[in-house]
Amino acid sequence: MRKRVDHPIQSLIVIYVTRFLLPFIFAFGIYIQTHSSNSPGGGFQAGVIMASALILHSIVFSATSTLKVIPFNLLLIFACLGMATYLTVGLSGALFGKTFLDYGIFSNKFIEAQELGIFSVELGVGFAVFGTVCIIFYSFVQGELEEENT
Amino acid sequence: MIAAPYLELALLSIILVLGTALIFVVDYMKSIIIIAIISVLAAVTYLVMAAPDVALTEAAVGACASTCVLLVGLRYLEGEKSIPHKWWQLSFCIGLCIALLVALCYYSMEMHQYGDSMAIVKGGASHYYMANIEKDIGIRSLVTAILASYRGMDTFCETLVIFTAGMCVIFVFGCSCLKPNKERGCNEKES
Repeated sequence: MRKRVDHPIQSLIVIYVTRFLLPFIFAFGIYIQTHSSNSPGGGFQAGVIMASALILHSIVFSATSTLKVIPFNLLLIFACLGMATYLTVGLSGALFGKTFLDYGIFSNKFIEAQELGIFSVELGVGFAVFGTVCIIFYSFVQGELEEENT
Repeated sequence: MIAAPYLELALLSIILVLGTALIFVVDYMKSIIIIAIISVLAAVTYLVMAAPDVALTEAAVGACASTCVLLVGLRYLEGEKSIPHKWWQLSFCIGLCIALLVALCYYSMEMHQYGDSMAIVKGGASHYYMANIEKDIGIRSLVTAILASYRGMDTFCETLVIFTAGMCVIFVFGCSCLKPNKERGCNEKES
């Protein structure tokens, strides 16, 4: 017997406001991620903002519907991918005869290499934080999911 | 920016009042809501104190993510009610709070004034960062430059800490989401 709850929150206002706001929250997260070099914010903030958008979606339209869009395995892959990006950027400096996290391999010009290195590192942090915060939230929701499935 | 000190004073005193209210609240739900409000007010305070990075983090983590995790965790406690405080517990808590407040006020007199350029934290490395950021890194955001380039190793370890925390949560709660066979089994039973 599956107890199907498509909309745990029945209020139309909440559903429509969420539908309106979700793309803007995601866009804000991406903005914070890509403009980290000359405005406040960075990978961590962007990751948490995007994760909070996902959490909002799963609160308003049940966690099962969110996990259909972004499955749990994908979140795990995101977290590992982010961590691997940071580690690869760090180690690639070390492999080519420089120190760990030296961004020299990206470009011959020093400042350009720094900018590219910072951007890729922030991207890694963003992915890792996005994946991890979502994983923590869905691990807590899990018990409820099992109840719905059985 | 003339109103800023009064704004800070108002925000911090509201946080103080809410924090005091947190002692007396027995209901879990109400205390979670109060913690969320404190987080939002703290975020606004950070913004007023010209720290938008910290404000963003506080608003996203403190007010949204951790509140949602606490609320979901509350469902596991359904039916359980916290025991009302006894009078001696309450008086002990209040006494401890007042002692802490007095101690903090006493030691805050020793501290430098907010924004003082002679403060110890502003000496040493921070002068170097501010003077050389354009030459060394070439980006305008000081915080990002310090986090990702000057102190890249620290940020790496911080990210590792968050990642490890996520993995630990998976191991504690078990990962039934990761078992496709079990889910498939459930679906077959239904059909």
